[in-house]
Amino acid sequence: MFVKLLRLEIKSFFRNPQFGANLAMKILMFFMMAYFSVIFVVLGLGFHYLVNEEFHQDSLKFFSRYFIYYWILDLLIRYFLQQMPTQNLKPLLVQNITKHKLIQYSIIKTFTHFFNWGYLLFLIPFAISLILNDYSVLGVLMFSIGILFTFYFSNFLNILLNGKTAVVVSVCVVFAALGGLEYFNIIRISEISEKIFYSFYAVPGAFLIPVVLTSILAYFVYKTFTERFYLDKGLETEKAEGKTENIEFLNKFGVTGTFINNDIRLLKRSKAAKSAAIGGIMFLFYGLLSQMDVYSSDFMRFFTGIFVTGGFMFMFGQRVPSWDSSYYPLMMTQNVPYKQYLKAKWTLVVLATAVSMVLALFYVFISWELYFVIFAGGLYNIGANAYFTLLAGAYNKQSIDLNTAAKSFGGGKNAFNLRTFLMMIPQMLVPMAVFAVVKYFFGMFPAVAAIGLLGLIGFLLRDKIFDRIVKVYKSEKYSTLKAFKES
Amino acid sequence: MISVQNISKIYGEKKVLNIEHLEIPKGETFGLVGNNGAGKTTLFSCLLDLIEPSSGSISIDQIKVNESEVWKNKVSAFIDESFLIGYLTPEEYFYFLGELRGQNKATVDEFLKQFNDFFNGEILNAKKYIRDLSKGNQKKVGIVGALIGKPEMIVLDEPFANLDPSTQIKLKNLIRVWSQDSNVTFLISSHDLSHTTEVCNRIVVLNKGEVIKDIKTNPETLRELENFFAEQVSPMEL
Repeated sequence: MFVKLLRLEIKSFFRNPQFGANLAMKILMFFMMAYFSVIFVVLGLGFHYLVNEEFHQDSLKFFSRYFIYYWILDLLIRYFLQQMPTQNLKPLLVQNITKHKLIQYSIIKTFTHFFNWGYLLFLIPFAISLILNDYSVLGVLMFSIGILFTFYFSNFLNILLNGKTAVVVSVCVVFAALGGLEYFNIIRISEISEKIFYSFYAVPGAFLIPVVLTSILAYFVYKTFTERFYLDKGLETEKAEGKTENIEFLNKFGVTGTFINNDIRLLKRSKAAKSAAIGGIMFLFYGLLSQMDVYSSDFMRFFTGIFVTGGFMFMFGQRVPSWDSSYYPLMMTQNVPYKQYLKAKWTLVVLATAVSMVLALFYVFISWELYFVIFAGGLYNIGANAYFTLLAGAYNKQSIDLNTAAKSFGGGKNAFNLRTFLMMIPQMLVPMAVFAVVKYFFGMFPAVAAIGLLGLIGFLLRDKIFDRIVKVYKSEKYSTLKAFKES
Repeated sequence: MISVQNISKIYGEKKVLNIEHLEIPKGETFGLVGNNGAGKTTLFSCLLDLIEPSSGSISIDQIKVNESEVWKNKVSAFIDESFLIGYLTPEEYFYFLGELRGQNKATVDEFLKQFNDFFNGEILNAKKYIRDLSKGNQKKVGIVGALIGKPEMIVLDEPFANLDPSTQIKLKNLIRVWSQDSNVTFLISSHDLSHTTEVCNRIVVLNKGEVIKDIKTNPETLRELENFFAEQVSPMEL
């Protein structure tokens, strides 16, 4: 039975329209996967030596000490990205398969999710390097099993928590606060973490605690699932109460305002759009990485500038017109010029970028210089990138299912194709180069000014650029309609 | 008003639409019937410039639909659920369409009053998003959406499908009343022969993409159509 269901799963994977994008895309994805896998493996192998030599500490203890934070972060990410896959089950409900089989199957299926095996890429090489360095084989084995089940524990916890955002957020806030207290040496949660997780290695049998806890939780998941295995309970996507709303102020701007109003509703009510917007907010914190060595050159630092302020643009703007894919025929038969439609999207992207530039002010606490770089990035995003993103969108023919949150790593519904990729050159590399060169010769302020000037030129040419974009959109119209319909 | 010239649509080897010539004058209530795959939706999609015909063209008021977009001032359509915006409430959807057709909120509200009966109290102020409405109610929203702004030409694909019997009757009455206005042209496709003959004053039968019959509706039309489709069924299957 499971084999038959598995066959369905494989078909649904390979026939997913996102999968069939194109060969170049697949190759690119493969290399990205390979790249990240190698990074994980290398990190796993090198972790022991790194901790030993750089910090002169016991790597296993070090790992245990901070693992609690990683675990909470993992839970948070799971909560927002990993969902219990139940939608495909509907057609099977009245078939000659017992409910228990279906439930078992969907629970087992969660184990195939990246979140439930991806960390093995780190854990296994780490364990090997520990054994090679005279840690007890049995202990390392017990430790690995303990950690493995700690992750499975969060897998089940995540299923049970589904829909209880308040709980998850408050847990995370508590841990963020604990992290803060730790930073100021007031309370050390990491010591508790070290005691707990190190005991998997040191105390024989301790590793059975997560195993037992996971089993208990699995039983609960199974039970709640059985109770909720009805169309009007667990299998139904929750229906929110409809509220008619409108930002009156925007009506002053005619059709553009109407469209912006609509996009705001989209962002509020569609899971996919909401998760894109949240992703965009995450980008704001990208600048914190700028403390790393890789970002010491001006060239790379400007990269962070573009990223910090461009989150919304990359997550939302990049996927215009896919957001409207489910009702694209309607849009195409209404009495609206393309230009106005695009201008509304552009306005939204620009507004969001401007807000990001203000929000990014907290980087001043790190350094004024960093904020200037971010500010310049914002200027370029507004002046130039907002158009490039829309232009790239014209070739983007992947529809978005508005009612499901974007899938995580690999299965992502990202509009990521070769043309979009090529657009990165004017979007990123050109301003990065300009910034680095001007800064090298003339200093910080002229560099920011040069980027600002580039942005201003883009801004002034906007009508010309819009016309060009409209032309591309028009010539792609039929194939876009077709592609949206097929998926 | 509408003029179809030598239009064809070919997918691979298969010709799904092939019409040499078809004129639809202003004010007509035009019914399109045919089995699945006869080319009804394909014809409508070509008319709305949603797909490119393999050859030929369709003009509305002498202007080819794929060359200029002025026809969008006159035409509105409801083909399928891809004309609905799921994350809006019905009210928001109507206001949205109204604004695109130059109508403010108050005008739309006034316009919607006449549909209270049609909506049966399940659409307006129902506190639901369109995506959460039943199929039948979604259809009602789409049909009324196509009527907003009183466009000159209204294209409805299978409007009677999924509607409950009372609503089917209400919709027929609505189409009859609206089509009294000699400025309004209706294009309706349907599988239901009796509904179509009741409301349309001209009926075209499509079969495998070609026009088989072109009838001015008269008391004999329904029987004629029923006989035609009965002949299509081979005796073995009967």
